[in-house]
Amino acid sequence: MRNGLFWLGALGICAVVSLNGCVKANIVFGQDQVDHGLTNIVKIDTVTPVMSTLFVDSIPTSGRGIAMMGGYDDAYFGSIQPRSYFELAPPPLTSLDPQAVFDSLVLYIVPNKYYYGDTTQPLDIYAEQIQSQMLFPPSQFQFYNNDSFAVRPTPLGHIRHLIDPHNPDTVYIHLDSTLGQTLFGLMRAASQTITDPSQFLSFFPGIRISSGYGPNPQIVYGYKDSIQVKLWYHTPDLLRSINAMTFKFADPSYQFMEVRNKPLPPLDQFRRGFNSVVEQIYSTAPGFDHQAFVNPLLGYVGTKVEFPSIRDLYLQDTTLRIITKAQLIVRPQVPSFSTQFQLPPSLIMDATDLNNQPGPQVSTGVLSLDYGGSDTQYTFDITALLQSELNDPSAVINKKGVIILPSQANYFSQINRLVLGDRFFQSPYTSPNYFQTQVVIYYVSTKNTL
Amino acid sequence: MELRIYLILFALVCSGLVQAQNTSSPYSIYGIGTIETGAYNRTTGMGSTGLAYRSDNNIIQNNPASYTALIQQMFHIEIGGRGDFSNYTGAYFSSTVGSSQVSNDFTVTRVAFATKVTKWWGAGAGLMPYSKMDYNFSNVQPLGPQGEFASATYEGSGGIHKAYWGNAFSLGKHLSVGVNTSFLFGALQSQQTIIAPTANASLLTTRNLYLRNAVFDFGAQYYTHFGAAKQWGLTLGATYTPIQPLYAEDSLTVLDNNIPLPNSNSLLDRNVFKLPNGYGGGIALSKESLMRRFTFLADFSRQLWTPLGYAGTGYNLSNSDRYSAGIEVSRKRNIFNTPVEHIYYQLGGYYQKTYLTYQGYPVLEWGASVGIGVNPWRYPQWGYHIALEGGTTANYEEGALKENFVRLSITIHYWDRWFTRGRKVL
Repeated sequence: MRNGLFWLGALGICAVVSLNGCVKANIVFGQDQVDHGLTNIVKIDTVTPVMSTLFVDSIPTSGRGIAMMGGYDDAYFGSIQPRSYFELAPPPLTSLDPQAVFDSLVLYIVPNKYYYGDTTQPLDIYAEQIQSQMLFPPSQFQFYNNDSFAVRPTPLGHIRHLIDPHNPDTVYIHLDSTLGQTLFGLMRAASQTITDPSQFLSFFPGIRISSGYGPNPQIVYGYKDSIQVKLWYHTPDLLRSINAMTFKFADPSYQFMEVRNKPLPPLDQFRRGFNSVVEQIYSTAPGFDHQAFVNPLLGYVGTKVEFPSIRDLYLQDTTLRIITKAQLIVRPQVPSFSTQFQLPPSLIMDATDLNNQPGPQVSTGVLSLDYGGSDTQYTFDITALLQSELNDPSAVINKKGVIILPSQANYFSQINRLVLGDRFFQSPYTSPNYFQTQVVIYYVSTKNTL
Repeated sequence: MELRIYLILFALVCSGLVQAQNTSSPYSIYGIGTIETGAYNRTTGMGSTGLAYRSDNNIIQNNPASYTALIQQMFHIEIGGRGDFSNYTGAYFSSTVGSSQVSNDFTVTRVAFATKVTKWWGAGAGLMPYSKMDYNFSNVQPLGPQGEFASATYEGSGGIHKAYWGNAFSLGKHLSVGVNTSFLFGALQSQQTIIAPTANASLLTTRNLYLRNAVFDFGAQYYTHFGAAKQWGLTLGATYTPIQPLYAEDSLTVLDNNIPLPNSNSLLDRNVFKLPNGYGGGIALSKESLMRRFTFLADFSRQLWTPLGYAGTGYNLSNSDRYSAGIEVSRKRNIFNTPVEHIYYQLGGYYQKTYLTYQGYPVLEWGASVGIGVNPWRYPQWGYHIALEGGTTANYEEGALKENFVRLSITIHYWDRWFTRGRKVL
C-alpha cells in the first residue's frame, strides 16, 4: 500500500514536471516598449573634417617610366602641357655594305591607352632634338616635373594624328633626313661618336616629345617610355635588302616628364621655387571657396584632412565607448569630372602629422561613380584612425590627420584631377549640399552608471 | 520510506524550479518584473482569495496567521505547478504579422512545508516566486535621425524567489497572528542584442541585477462561529508589509562582436531597491453542516509603490490594488466514522491594477478561475488541487499589447504524522 501511495504521488509530480512542450513568443513591439538607455549604436555625421591642399614645388618624374604628350586647358588647374625627354643609345657598330643607301629615320611611339580629355581631337606630335646633354643639377639625382631643357629651334619631325585611345596604333614620326644621313655616315665610318656613348650623347643629347607651341589640343595621351628611333637603309642589289639600325631609349634615370602649368586662381597662391617644402593652404582660405585640390604631377600632392573636433565627441556624449565604424566620404565636384576627364580610379589615405609628410597607409578609397548624378564619391574606412585620435590628446596639437592622394599605381602615371569640397562647400551647379565631404561615425554608447 | 518520499519530492521540485521559463510576459521588462499575485495553493481556484481563509489540511501562505488552523501533529507538503498558455494581440499584430502570437510554458512554482508544532503554534516554510522577468522582444533601433535602423532583440529572464519561514501563534480562541520571515533572492537578466551591419556592430549587452534581503510580512486572523449549532463561521484577515530594502547588485557587460568593449566592458553599481508598504484585508464567511461546507471569501490588498518614485522611459511604478472574491463548496466523506473532506469545488475572480503604469495608463489584469480539489478516500494522505484560470493583462492605451492567458495550476498535497510520540490523531 505504501509503495502504491509513493508511486501515485511521484507519478503526479512527474506529470507536472514533464509538461514542458514550451513555446516562447517573440513579441515585436514598436519603439516605445523598450528603454534604449542601456546600450545604443549612434550614428552621427556632424564631425567637421578640416581640409587643405598640399603643394610641393617639384615632383620627381625621372626613372618612373612615365611619358605623356598633349595638353589641355583645365578649368581648375590652368593650362597643362606634359612633354617628355629621352636619351637614346646608339646601336651596336654595324658593318655596312659599301653600297648601302640611307632611307629614313623614324621615331616609334607606342601609346599605353591612357588618355585624359577629348579623344576626338587630333594631336600634333613634335619630336625635337635636345640642344645639350641632360645633366642632373648639382647634388641632385633626379629630374623633376618643372625641369626643362632647351631644344633646337627646328623640330626633327612632326605628325598630326588621331589616336584611338582603346586600340591605339604605334605612332610613326619621320625625323629629319639630314640627321639620318649624318648618323648613317657615322656608322659607316665606324666613328667613335657611335662607339662611345658619351660622345654620342654630346652629338645627340636626346629627344623631347611634345605637342608643340600652339593652342592646347585638349587631350593628353600617355605612352610607353620604350620609344625608339630606327634608321632604315637598303642595299641596291638584286634582293634590295632593307635593314634598320635602332637607337633605343637606354637610361631610365635620364628619362623624365616635364609638366608645364600656368595655374589659375586660387592655386596661383602657392609659391613656386621652394623645394622640399610642403605648402599647405586650407580650404577656408580666401579664394579657395571651401575647396581642396589633388593633382600630383602638377605638385598638388594631396588633400590633407584633419579631425580637430573628434575629441569633442567625448564632451558631447560621455557615454561613448568605442567607434565601430567611421567613414570619410569625399565627393568630387561636378563638373570637375566626366567621361572625358575621369577621376583617379583609386585613392589612398596616408597618415600624416604636423610636417605633412605621408606616413603609413591608413585606408583605400572605394570609388562609386555616378556620372550625371550626385552620388559619385570615394569612401574611406577611418575607423581605426578616428579611434586612435579619439584616445590621443596630442592629435590636435600635432595636426594629425590623413592625406588623400591617388594610389601608387596612378600617382605618377595619370594626370587626372580631383577637386573636393569641404563640409561647407556650396555647389553653384547643383543642390548646394551635394558635394560636401562628410564624416559618418557609428559608435557604441553605454550608460555610465546603472 | 518517508525519507525516501521526501527526498524524491524535493529532487523533483528542484528540477522543476530550474526549468526555463518560456512564457513571454511582455510587461515584465519593467521594474523588478511581474510580481506574482497568485498563491498557487488551495486558494488558486478562488482567484487566490485567502487572506481570511483557514484550512486544517492545506498550507495557506496568503496570510501567515493561518498556520494555526492546521491539525496538530500533522506534517504537510505541497507542491504547486503552473502551465501558462498566452495569446498576444495588439495593434502591431493586426497590422503586420497576423492576429496574434502564442506562447506556452509549464513551471513548478511552489513547494511548501507546514506543521502545527503545538496547540498554539503553527509553522510553515516554502519556496515560491516573488516576481518573474520573462520577455522576448524584437524591434528596430534608430541609429540616428537619418532613418537608419538596426535590428534589436531584447530578452529577459530570471526572477526573485521567496524562501519563507512563517510562524503563527494563537492568542486565545479567536485570534491568530503570524509573521513570515522571507529571504528574497534572485537575478534578473536582461539581454539586448543589436545587430547593425551598416555600423559593423553586433552588440550583446547583458545586465544582471542580483537582488537579496530578508523581509517580513505580518498577518492576523480573527475567527469565530455563530448561529444555530454554530454552523456559520466568520474569519477576518489582515496583512501588513512594511517598507523594506532589497539590496541590488547591478552589472552591465557589453560585447561587440564577442569582444568586450575596451573602454568600459563592465559597469557595476550597488543600489538599494525598496519594497513598498502594503496592506490587505479579507473576509471569509462559511456555513458548515456535517458533510458539507460552503465558504465565501473576498480580499483587498494594496501596495504603495507611488511614494517610492520609481520611473523609467515610458513607465513608472504606482500603487497596486487587487480585489478578489471566491466561493467554495466542500463535501466530506466518512472515513472510520470521521467526516473527512473528500472533494471541493471553487469559483473565483479578481481584478488588479498592477504596479506598472505604462505610457500613462495603468497595466491591469483581471481574470476568473474555477478549481476542484480531491482527497482520494483510498489514499487520504494525498490531495490534488487543479485550478483553471483565464484572464487578461492589458492597459487602456489604444492598440496596446494585450495578453490573454489561460493558466492551469496543479497543487499536490501530502501529509503525514509528525511528532506523534506514539499517539494517533487520525
